[in-house]
Amino acid sequence: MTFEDFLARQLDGLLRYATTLTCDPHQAQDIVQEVVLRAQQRWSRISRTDQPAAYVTRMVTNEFLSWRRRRSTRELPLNPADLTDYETDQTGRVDDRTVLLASIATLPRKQRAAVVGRYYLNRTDDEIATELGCTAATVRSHISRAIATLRTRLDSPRQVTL
Amino acid sequence: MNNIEDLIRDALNHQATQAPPASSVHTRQATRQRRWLVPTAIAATMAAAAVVLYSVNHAPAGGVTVGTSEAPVDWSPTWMLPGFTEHNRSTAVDGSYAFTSWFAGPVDARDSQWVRLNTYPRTKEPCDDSMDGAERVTVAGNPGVWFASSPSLSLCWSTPTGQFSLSSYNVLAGRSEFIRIAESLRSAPRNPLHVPLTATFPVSDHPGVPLLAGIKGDTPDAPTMYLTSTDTPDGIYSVGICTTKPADPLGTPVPTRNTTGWWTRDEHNFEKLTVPVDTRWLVVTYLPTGGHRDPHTEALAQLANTVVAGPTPATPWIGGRP
Repeated sequence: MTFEDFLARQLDGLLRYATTLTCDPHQAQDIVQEVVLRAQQRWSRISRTDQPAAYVTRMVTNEFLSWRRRRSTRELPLNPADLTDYETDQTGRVDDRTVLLASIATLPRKQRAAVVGRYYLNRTDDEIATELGCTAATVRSHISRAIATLRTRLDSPRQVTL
Repeated sequence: MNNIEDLIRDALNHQATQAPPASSVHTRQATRQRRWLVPTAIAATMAAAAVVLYSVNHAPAGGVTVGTSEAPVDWSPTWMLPGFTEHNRSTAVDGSYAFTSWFAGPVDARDSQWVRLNTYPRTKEPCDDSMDGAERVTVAGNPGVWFASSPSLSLCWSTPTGQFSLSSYNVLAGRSEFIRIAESLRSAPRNPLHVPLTATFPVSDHPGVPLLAGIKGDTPDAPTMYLTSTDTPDGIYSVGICTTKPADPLGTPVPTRNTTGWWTRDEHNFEKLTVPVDTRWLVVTYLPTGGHRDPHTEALAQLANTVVAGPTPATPWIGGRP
C-alpha cells in the first residue's frame, strides 16, 4: 500500500478520531497534519507493520498527549460555565450532549483518551492500555473517574443553565 | 437514551462529525508529498493533451453522482522493467492526478512487486529534495529527485507540463532503471481510458470530492472498472463491475436492484455486496475509516441501486508491456 493509498483510506477517520480527542476541529487538523508529515517520512517502515492504520492512530494519540503539554497555553477547552452561546432545547436547559462535550473537553488528557478509546473507537481496555502505555487497570480507573466527573456535570444543570 | 455510556457514545459520534474535511490536510500535504514522490517531466515539447472528462454532480438526495466518459492525460513509458505488466489505469475524477501501475507476480500478495507512474498535470512546483538521502537528478533535462527507502523507491521530476513520479515497492532496481523508464515517457493519445460507470455515493458536500475512477485487471479478458469515493462521513465506498464471478463466498442474501445480492463482512469490518448484473457482477464495498462497526448493508444496497454501467470497454493493455 502506498502512502497515498493509505491517506485515501484513513485520513477521514484519523481526523474524526483527533476531533473527538481534542474537542476542537482546528487543533485536530493541526495534529493530524503533523502526524501525516511524520508518517510520510517513516512510511517505508510503517507500511511493513501488521497494522499501519493502528500505528498511525497511535501517533495521533501520542501527538494529542504531547501536544497538550507543549501547547497548553494555546489550548482553551470549553468550560461548562461558558456555554451561554450553545444550543439549548425548548425548555431552556442545555442538552445533555452539549454538556457532555464541554465536560469531556475539560477531562485530563489520559482520561479523555481512554473515554474516546472505549466509547468512540470501541476498543477493549487492553487495547487502550497499549495505546496509552499503561495497564488495563489504569485504563479502567481513568474511565471510572471520567464517568464520575461527567455524571456529576450532567446532574448539575444549574452550572450550564442559560 | 438515558444511560450515561450511551450518552457519551452519542456525544463523541456527534463530535466526530465536526471533523475538518480530509481535503484540508490533503491540500496542505500535497505540495510536499508530490515534490518528492513525483519526479517527472519529460520535455516541454510533449503535448499535454489533458482533457478531464469526468463529471461530479450533486444528487437531489444529498449524495454525489459520479459520471465518467473518457480519461485525462495519458503518458506512457516505452520501456519498463523486465517481468512487469500493466494492471491498472486510474484517474482522480477532479483531474488532479492519474496513475498507471505495473505488477510482477501476484497483485494481492503481501510482498507484491509494483511500479506506479503518477502524473500531476496541475502541479508546477519542483520536486522536494529535503528528505534525508534524497538525491538530485536530471530526467530528460528536467530537474528531479531520487529517493530510496527500501523497499520503496521513488523518482520525481518536474516539467513545464506538470509533475511526474515513479514509485515502487519491493522492486530490485536502481536509479538508472527508473530514469530510463522516466525518459521513455511519451504522450500517448492512443486508447483513452473510458470508464462508462456512474454511481451516487453517500458523500458530503466538500469541494473537490476525492473520487477515483479506473480499470484494473490481471488479464485483458477480465477487467474490472471501478469508482472509489474517499470523502464519505464514515468510510470508503467503492463500486466495481467485474466480468468474472468473484471467488469469495456469497454470504448473506440482501435485496437490491430487484434481485438478490450477497453480503459479507470480514474480521476487519470490510463489507462487500456482490450483485449479478446482466452477464457481469457488481461488487460494492465499504471500508470503515473510524471506529464504525455497525453493518452498512443498507447503504451498500442503496449505492448498488444507483449504479449504471455501460459496456465494459476492451482493455488490451492489461497484462501488456511497452
